[in-house]
Amino acid sequence: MPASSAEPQSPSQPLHPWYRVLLVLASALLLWSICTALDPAGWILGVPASLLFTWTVFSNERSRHPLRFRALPGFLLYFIFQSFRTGLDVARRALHPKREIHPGFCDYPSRLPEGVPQAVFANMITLLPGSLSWSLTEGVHKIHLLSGHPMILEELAQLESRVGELFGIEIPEELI
Amino acid sequence: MILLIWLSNLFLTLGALFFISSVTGLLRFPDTLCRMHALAKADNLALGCVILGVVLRQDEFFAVGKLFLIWGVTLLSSATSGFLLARRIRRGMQLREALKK
Repeated sequence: MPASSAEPQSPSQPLHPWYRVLLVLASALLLWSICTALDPAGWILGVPASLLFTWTVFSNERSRHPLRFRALPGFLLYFIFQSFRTGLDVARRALHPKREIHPGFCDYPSRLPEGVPQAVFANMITLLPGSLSWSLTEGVHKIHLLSGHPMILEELAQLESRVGELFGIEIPEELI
Repeated sequence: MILLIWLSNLFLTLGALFFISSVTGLLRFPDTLCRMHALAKADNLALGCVILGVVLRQDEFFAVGKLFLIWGVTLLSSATSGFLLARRIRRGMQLREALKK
């Protein structure tokens, strides 16, 4: 059933705020340990830097739709898969003897709420094969297409649904 | 071990080929926005292949972690900078049209 973007539904209960803080702090410490190869001297800077990072993340979290950490691994896999597909598509077009491109533009009115989810969606559009987001005005994404193919709107709707999942918002994958 | 080296060579060659295709797109595509597609997309795949190739030759855990971190940060920043650059190009185009009138 299609769900309205005005009434976001939560597919699962969000994590307790303290779990979220601990998860972000643990991620920051993990990143620091990878960068410094567990050098003991590095922790003098690493621990305060990780605490500062965690504080910055949560002091700026004014969005009504916080990130769902549970949806993050699935989204990252989708992100990497799409990057591969997109890279292959552009390489094929660039090397094709007849330069297989038919540039054009299209508008896509997003069903995501304004704020961080819209911004993430705008960034992710660039990942889909042949599409480049170049403007976002009042929820309408202006998209540059390398070659307008009929499936692009369906792919955008699927991407929008994926971004919605990341923020706990149910968006149907099909266009209405 | 030899299999790993061959796999690494394969990924490094693929990476080089994708970088070449990205530069080819930059030279062959007709306008700035089309060129942005080549730069924001094919480069990511090329870097991914090169990093996989280098990872297969590494035996240190933290070096592998750092290499994947480089790839992840590049993927994220490439998507964002692609959007920001495209927006700037649009403003430039709008300004040129306004000046013509």
